[in-house]
Amino acid sequence: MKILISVLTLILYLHAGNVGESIYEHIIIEDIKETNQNLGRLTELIQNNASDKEIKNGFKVLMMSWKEVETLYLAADLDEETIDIPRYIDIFHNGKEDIYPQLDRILLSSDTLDIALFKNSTKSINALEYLLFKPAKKTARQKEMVLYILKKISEHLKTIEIFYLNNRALFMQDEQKINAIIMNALIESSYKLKEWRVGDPAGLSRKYKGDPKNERSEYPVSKLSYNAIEAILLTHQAVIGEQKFVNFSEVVHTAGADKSLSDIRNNIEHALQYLHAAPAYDFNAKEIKALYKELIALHNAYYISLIGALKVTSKILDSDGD
Amino acid sequence: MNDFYFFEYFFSPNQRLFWIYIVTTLLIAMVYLTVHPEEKKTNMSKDLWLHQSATLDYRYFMVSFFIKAWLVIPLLIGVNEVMFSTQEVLNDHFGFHVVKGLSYTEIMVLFTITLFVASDFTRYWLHRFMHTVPLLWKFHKVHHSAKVLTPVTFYRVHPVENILFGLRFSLTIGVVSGIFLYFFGGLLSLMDVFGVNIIVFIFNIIGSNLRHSHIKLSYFKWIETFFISPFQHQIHHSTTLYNYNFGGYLAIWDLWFGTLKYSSDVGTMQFGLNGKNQFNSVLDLLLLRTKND
Repeated sequence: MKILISVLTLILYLHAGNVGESIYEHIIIEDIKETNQNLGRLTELIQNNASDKEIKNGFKVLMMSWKEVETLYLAADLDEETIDIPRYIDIFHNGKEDIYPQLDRILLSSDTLDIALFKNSTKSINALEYLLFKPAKKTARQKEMVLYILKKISEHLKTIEIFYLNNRALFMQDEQKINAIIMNALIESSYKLKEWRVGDPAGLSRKYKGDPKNERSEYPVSKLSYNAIEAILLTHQAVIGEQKFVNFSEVVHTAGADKSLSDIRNNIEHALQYLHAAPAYDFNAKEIKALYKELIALHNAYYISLIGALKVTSKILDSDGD
Repeated sequence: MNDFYFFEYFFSPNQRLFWIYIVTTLLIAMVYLTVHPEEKKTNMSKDLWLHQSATLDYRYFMVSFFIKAWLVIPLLIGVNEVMFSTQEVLNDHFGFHVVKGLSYTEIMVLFTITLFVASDFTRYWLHRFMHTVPLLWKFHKVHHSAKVLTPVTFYRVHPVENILFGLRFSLTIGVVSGIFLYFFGGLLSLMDVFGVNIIVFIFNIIGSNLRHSHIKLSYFKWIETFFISPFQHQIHHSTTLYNYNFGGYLAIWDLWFGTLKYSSDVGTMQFGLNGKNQFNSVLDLLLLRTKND
């Protein structure tokens, strides 16, 4: 008798053909390339002394594309050496230090930037946000610091891009693993979205229940937190929404979890609608509360689709005695 | 809850009477009887297979299907619901964590073994409570009232016991799976054969059905320290030693908690309950009505 040692439906669930390859080409590579380009454009704008409005818009575009890369950052699961790169770029919920006073001091100091900006946190996109949006008076020192930070972020982003380009095969060879990693990335991202990016500033998370505070949002200085949320939701939509290319919905569909797929898509769609309807930078708004509920549902829907596909539950053999 | 059809008993690998398990059980029994020809007479006797107790098992087996399908299963909480709630509670209290560093295969092996061990552990204790808690013993007596053992005796279980074991199953598998889901998410998978945990499958093809039989298959003593042999379970069905060998597949629980009895320690024995406590019909079994009541 042929014994099939399988992972049963999960294999089907996590083995739908070409998904990894398609997501690699249409999302992962495109996003990292776009982010590198956006960073290059912002650098040029600053070097050419473009208007404040253009620079701030350049930052917004860069930040949103970075959020796309961060949302589906699969490199860490493929190579442990790449785990820390996002933390060098982005310190949201990573460490508790307040970088703003440090940056103010560095702005006034005359130390070389190698020394003054020795900490990763002061070379992050969050530091960049502060320097571009906060100081009332733009100085040569500030411009110098911004360009230095952009250079450092660029190095990290290039490392990510090179990793992806050099490891294309990993996305094709072990599709089962890739699909599992993608699923985990979606679950993790949906959790952080609901708890950190919406729940905490809205006073809806367990930690800050009943204590809303806009300052807890991801980009409090530039007030671009909604844009960050939008970029993340759009990445989810690219991964599992209706697209012209093969994406993760194929995997969920193959597992027969069409109901979950439909729920997930609706949750993303509704979340975007609530976000767009919310008054500017007001995490206490009723639309944000509705957004939070939708994100809870999205997070749960990911788990439900996964549980449905797992089928670790045999029937009731064990309901009989012995 | 899952739909449940009668023929699943024979065609679902989740059932003890799955045809492949029956075939392998017969093969093992044939080999055993070739080595022990003196036991052929008993095991192939009409007196055994058509014994009043055995025929009651068959009738109860048919009736209990409907009870299970209509009463027991609808009452049981699903494993998926427990699994979802478990990961939800963990996420709520401890935030999101994914353990990295273990390979897909390592997680699969770890999960498969943990599920099996956890399930066997809770099975041991519920089984023991069925004996030691007077109220539960009233229901479990139904199973122990069988005077002869056939694989169908496995299903001579009162619906209340079905519910308790079903809840135990849902809670154990659900909680363990929920914890693994919390830590490993999409990387979670189970080593299975035809959808059954591979360890359970192996035990079933190597003769779980002989536990309820008169084939006195025992293992070497050192093996019986780790795994319950069919004969050890038959000891559990004896009129005098029914408070030993509560284990399902593993004997370590009996060893650790002082209820292990080796095959070599026991000679001849009788099955069933002493004196009173005899059930004569399906209705008697369901109503817990012994002939002396």
